[in-house]
Amino acid sequence: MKDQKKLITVNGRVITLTLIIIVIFIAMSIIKGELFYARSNIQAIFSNLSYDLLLACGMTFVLILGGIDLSVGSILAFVGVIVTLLLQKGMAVPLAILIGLSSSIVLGAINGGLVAKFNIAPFIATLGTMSILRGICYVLTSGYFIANLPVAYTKIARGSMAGIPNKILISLTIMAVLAVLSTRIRGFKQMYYVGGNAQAAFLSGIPVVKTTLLGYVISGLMAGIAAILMTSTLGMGQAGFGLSFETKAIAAAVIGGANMHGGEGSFLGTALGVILVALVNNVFIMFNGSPNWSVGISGIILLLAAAVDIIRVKSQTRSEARK
Amino acid sequence: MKSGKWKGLLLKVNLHYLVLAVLILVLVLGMSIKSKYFLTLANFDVLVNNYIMEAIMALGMTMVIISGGIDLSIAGILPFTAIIFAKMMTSGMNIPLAMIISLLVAMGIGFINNELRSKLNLYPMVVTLSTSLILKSINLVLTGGTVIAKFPASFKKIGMFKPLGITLSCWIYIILAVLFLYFSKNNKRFIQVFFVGGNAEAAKLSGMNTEAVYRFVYVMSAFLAGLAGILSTTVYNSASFSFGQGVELRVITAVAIGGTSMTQGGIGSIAGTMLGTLFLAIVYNAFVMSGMSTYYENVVTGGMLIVAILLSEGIRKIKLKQTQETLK
Amino acid sequence: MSLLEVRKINKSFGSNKVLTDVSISFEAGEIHSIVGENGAGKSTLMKIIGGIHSCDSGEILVDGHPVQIHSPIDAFKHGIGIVHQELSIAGNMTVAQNVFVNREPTNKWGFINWTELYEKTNAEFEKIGVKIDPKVPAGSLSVGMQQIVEIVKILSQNVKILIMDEPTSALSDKEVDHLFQLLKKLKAKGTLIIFISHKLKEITYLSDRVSVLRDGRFIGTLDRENMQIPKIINMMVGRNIDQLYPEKGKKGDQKEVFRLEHGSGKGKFTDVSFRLYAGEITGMFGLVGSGRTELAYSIFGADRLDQGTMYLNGEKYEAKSPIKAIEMGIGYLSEDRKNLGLFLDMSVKDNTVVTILQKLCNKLSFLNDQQAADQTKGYIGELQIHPEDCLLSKVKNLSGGNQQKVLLAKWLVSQPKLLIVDEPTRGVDVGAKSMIHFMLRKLADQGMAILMISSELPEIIGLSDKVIVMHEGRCKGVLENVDLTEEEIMTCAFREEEDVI
Repeated sequence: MKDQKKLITVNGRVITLTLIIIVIFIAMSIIKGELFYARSNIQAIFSNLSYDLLLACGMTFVLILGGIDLSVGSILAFVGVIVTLLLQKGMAVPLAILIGLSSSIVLGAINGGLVAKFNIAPFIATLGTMSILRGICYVLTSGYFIANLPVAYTKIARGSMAGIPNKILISLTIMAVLAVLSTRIRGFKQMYYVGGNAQAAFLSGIPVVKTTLLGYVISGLMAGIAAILMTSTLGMGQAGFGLSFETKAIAAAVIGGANMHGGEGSFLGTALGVILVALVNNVFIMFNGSPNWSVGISGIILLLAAAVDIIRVKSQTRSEARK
Repeated sequence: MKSGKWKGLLLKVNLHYLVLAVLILVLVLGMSIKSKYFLTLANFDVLVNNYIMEAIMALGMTMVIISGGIDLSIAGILPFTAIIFAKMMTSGMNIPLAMIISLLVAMGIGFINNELRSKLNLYPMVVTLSTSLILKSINLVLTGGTVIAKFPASFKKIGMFKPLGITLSCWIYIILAVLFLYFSKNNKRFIQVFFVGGNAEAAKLSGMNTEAVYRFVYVMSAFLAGLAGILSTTVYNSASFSFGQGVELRVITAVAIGGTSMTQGGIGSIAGTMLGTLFLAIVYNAFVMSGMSTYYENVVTGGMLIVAILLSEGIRKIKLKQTQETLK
Repeated sequence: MSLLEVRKINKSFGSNKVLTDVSISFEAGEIHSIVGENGAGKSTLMKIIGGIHSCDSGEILVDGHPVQIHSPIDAFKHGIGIVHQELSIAGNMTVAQNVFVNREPTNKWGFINWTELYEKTNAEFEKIGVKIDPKVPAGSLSVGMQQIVEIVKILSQNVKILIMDEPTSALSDKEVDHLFQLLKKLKAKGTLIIFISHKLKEITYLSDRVSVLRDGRFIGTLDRENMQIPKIINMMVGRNIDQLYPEKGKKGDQKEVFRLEHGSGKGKFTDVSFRLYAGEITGMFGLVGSGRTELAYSIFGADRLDQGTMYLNGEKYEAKSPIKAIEMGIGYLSEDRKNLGLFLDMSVKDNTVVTILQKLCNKLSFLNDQQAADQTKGYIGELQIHPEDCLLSKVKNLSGGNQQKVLLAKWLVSQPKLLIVDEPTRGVDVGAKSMIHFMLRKLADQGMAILMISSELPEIIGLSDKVIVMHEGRCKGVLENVDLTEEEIMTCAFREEEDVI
């Protein structure tokens, strides 16, 4: 009985999110008609989706650990700048990508080290690295675009297979793989334990520091991959890329069922959360016409998601107390 | 025996202030050797006015962090207040009235921050990050991305008002700093903040209204951010959505450098924050003097935030050890 | 008429009955101690009087009038103050600020009148004849002095009933002496002092009367003439063994699994030596604060030994981390199930296999979920965890007894050679308790060495082959369990330093 009930609640969120997304789609199609379901608008909705998916996926791991990573937007910009600069200098595409991804791993490890080794509160540590990296980006570029990238690079994300853009394929694949692995690979599974109860995890022989490092490394790496997809798509690097992407990622993950206290998170939920955030943004813009709202919407959604999450946990504990 | 005496002395002197004071001295000395302009009145003016808004807001942020929270929303409140104040003023409203209304609105945002935090049981970081983002969007929408200028002539005079050659913002900071220094040691409400941050449960058991204490710090922080917003309009004779970008980070960094603990509430001081702000201002000024790009500011701020936390936690551990040793 | 009287107090936490019809009366100007084993209900009774818990039924009378106490503030109104075991001193505030926290003398603008504050603080300290500079930060004082600050903070609120919960656990002998002088002075002024302690010597030295609680019931009150330690012990433990314990193991070949020589750590335990043998359950008896959990942590690598050597299977063993300890075949079932043991929001399966994740992985560190499920199902069956289909249920949805079984299963899957169980049956119903006892014996019979830390004497006597008696961080003796009685163990724990051979 209890097992069944649990399955329903887990799927409950996925079903609810799917329903909400469908309802918004239908409602918007009726209200705005052609304007909404035109190819250009759908493309607009999905234009940032591949990056958001990756970042939110990394964020889900960090939230499962009971942490938070505010630096993902800056890591994205940093890796983008590094890779495009190297390419501009004539470096071979694979090597530049390799260096870019490695640097994202190192940056993630620094975040993880500050949190796990030096016990700095995650949001303060990543707030610090967020600012440092963004600053370095501006220093490196002096605020200019880095363009004129080789075609070998730009075609990575611009190409498509069976009508689906490569970048969407790449991020969906990565996301799906990580989602499937998240409960099957030991290192990933250990994150649930650390986020669920770090003390008990330590006393059960789980390498808490290593596991925490891994979580932040993945988050960094996801931002690195997103950076490559983004610079490849746009054909340039810029210091301002990825600004406040972290909020969208956190909001999407929390909507999708990640618990801000750690120990819980659903990758399918996160994916739906990303779509919902993108959709709501689009709806807002359709009615208001001003893209100025996009950051604010992330804020509102984050607040709502966090509030709904807390209320859910509260009502759960209340119903248990009644038992 | 001698080392024992030393340790005793170290316990009495606040190690943190000492380190900071020495660092500031070294910086000032180094810079004045390197550049003959460093110790000029003109540069002093630049140094002070560059970080005056941060200095004002750091006072409030110190109390928020001592209470165990954080306020990221000041980066949204500062430009928001500046904008609504400018809008009211340019539409012909009486200037003092516009100021009062703007400040009340700012305090209202602080109030909302705290309500969301307490009623929905959310992390202060999440709440204030969200309100900050929402306000930033509102700021963009209100201004349409342009700068509001064309203030009445009577207002421009305020910016020119410089008694004893010191700017209005600076005067206000001096007054506020003295008040905060005194209040944080002598006023019951301020002292409650330390108790609540140190151990909220114990504070409750002593009959304290902890909710009122939290409300106080968030409203106070928002009020100071609003004040900084209005002062910014007097400095630039305009209001823009781009005011206060990244200001929350600089403010938090100043507070962290000042030795207020980011890991546990109840520990910190206004005096430390004032020293921290001064330190940050001098470092930034040194960068500008050395002709380095202002883009370095972000790098330096973030780096110092992390180093400051590592250092002050380290100093705290040393002190704890010493205390335990002397007690033995 | 008594100053304070409790009548027929009943209290349950969930299905766990903690106090049953407890009635005690307390007089003004006496030091009245409450003693009992862990879980006898002393602290709960005090928390009810102090307004932290409320009772299910019963009455509290102050000066003969029934009173309603629902919060610590209510308690203060009736002149009742508690000094808790954990100090609530704010270390970086001054002594005076701590004493008058939230009651500082202020002007109408909320500014503190320092002269008045210091005068008032000095006056409070003068009342009890102690000199402490009210201007120094409270954190710079010794723990003993901090405790006195805490007491003065309570006394300054016109308290006539002072409850002290284990006040001496963190104090040095000299500080304890000081505290007792102070309590006697207060008593002479007519204050009622209710004193809770595990240290019977202190109690007989200090108290005018002693009331004994056992299993949540009031057993009796002794006055000074009848206050002998053996008598108190008898009242504390004299109970019928209403539970069946498994038969003791047969004496095997005494193969030593673990040996600790002169272990000391963190000032919590000093110079402790003992051996553990395969096939034996060694009980470790000690009350709270005896250093037993800290000792277990050091063996398990969660803490470091400051001094001493450990041997595992005859070879020198250094406890570097729990990971290492588990690899070496040691398990540690923690006493705090909810905070240190289980992952409440995760499934029974996840909780069970946490210690063997590595073994469940192939070379690419993919987890074998089927194997995890099979292993867990095995233990669900063997330990009779209910409900039977709980494999994927969240652990927090199970009852206390079943949670404890999951905790045990988590260690059994790792197949340790040495299993340390810390209060293995705390907060568990009788059925599950018995089940766990039989399981432990079965494991020992299969050749495991088990160290069972417990403060429940019947459990220690019923289950152990040998008993290590710990008291205040020292090993007071290792007793062979041949018709051992509770009195013998208690006497061993409380015997004087000189008697230890």
